[in-house]
Amino acid sequence: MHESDECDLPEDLIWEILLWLPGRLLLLLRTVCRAWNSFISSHEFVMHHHQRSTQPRLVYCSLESEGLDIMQCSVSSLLYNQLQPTRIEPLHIKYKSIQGSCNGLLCLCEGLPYKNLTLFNPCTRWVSLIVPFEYPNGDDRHPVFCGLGYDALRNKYKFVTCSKTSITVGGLGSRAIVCTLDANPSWKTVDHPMFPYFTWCHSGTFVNGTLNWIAHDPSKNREDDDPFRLLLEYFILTFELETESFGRLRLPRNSFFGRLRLPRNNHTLSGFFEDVPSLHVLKNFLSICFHPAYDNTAAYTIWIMKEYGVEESWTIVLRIPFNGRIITPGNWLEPLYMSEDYILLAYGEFYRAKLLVYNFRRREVVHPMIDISSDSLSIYPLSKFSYGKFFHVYHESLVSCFP
Amino acid sequence: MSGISDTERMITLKTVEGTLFDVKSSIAKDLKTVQAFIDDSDDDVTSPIPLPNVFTRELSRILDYLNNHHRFRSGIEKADEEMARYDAEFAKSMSHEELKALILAANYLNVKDLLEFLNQTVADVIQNKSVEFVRNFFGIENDYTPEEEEKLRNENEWAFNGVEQD
Repeated sequence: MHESDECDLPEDLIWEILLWLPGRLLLLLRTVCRAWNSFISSHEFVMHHHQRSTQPRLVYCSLESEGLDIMQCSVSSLLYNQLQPTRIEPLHIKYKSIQGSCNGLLCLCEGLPYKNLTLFNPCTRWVSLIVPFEYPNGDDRHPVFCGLGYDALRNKYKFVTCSKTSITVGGLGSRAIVCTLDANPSWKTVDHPMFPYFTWCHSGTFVNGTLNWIAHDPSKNREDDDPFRLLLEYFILTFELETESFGRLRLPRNSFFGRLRLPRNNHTLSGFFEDVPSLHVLKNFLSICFHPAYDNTAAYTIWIMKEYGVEESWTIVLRIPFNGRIITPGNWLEPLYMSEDYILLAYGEFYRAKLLVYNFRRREVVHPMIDISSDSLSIYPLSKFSYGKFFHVYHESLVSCFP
Repeated sequence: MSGISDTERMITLKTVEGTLFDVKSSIAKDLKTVQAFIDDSDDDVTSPIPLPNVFTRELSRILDYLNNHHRFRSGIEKADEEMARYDAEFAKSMSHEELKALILAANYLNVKDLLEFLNQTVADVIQNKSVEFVRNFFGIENDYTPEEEEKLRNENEWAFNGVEQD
């Protein structure tokens, strides 16, 4: 069968080569032979491949003529391709919004308040069954926060959400519900010893086995010089997927941060929150971006938590200074992705476009070229103060979890 | 301690065909299997180290790669571009069989960076090829029945578009 010059690579060397391949090709290669199918579908390979993945993609909901659709494009193309406009690909998932992302899976929800959720893998196009929401005691008010996370111990994906039930003088009362997404999805209620608090980051940031949201404690509000302004102390609300317990983490600087501008009727809940910091995952670290108003520097400051859970390990990783043209004091900016060589993709309400790329070595700020024939970037929702994170970055994976 | 510095020390390697290669010890460090052998020996290694699984053609290529990469790294700024050009030429200069043989040798000698580069090169080769091409490349027999294969393909219908047909 083989000439003497031919040599066959043993399986373990072949597996190493497969780790470099993109997800779509790996799906094809499942048909090579039974051993390859078994290996490519194995949990170990799938997770290893996901961790090695160098194909980050940007996804967002777009308001098309027929309603919502989900669009995606290559992050590498946005960062590095200065010559050709980046192509945007519609995924043809209608009427659903992205409410979380984890291990290459997107969590799509329908309805507001949520009626049901679906897990979707944009790389393999695997779609889960639709899971209806089960609110305890018909408590289906608008969600305060939500998130998709992964319980590594049990190899299960879980969706957690929380809605307001009643607003009392002291703060909010509420319950969090967790759905374990397996062949028999089940919802349960989880305790909340942290209340009361308000959160902003509607869709949680998943890192290190936990979901994270920016929150503030209304009992700690302090007055500012201006009688129509309160100073708020932010913290990070955490939810550990394995233990299903809530916790909190301190921000890099332990002092009052945000400001709440109250309307003349002095009603806290309809105030206007200024300069809320944003949480993200950058280079696999939990990351927070502060807007310049906080520390009176003329730059956005991005911190990363080098060791998750260790508050002393907050470190500044990047500063984006004002440059008088694109980055000015009037903007707000949210980091989306940082490459190995520290080039940043960010989103904000800039004058000319919504996305920007910051290359700190060249002190260069550019708007990446988008192929507008495929989408005019009419991102839904359009306003900063609407629900949800607009953009999600996911890394390719072959993950699927239940039929 | 002898007056000769560590980087000048030469190690001799012997391939399957009996060819001898003199290698600087700084280069030999990248051949982790060889380095382990040296570390395990109580005395200085003077006689040639036999490499029963490595052929002359492969060892020659590996040493060429390592020598060049050492040169690029110790040089000045512009090395990145030169190194990329060298790597591209290096990859192109081999047939598929030679590529596989080199992977086996690099794996045996435990030359990490080169092995990773070779794996990526093979990944590039099979990028847009058909399933049959991949089977031939790795010498794998298809143990699916036609019905089973058809069923699997249908499950991932969309992924097969835009790829060379068998």
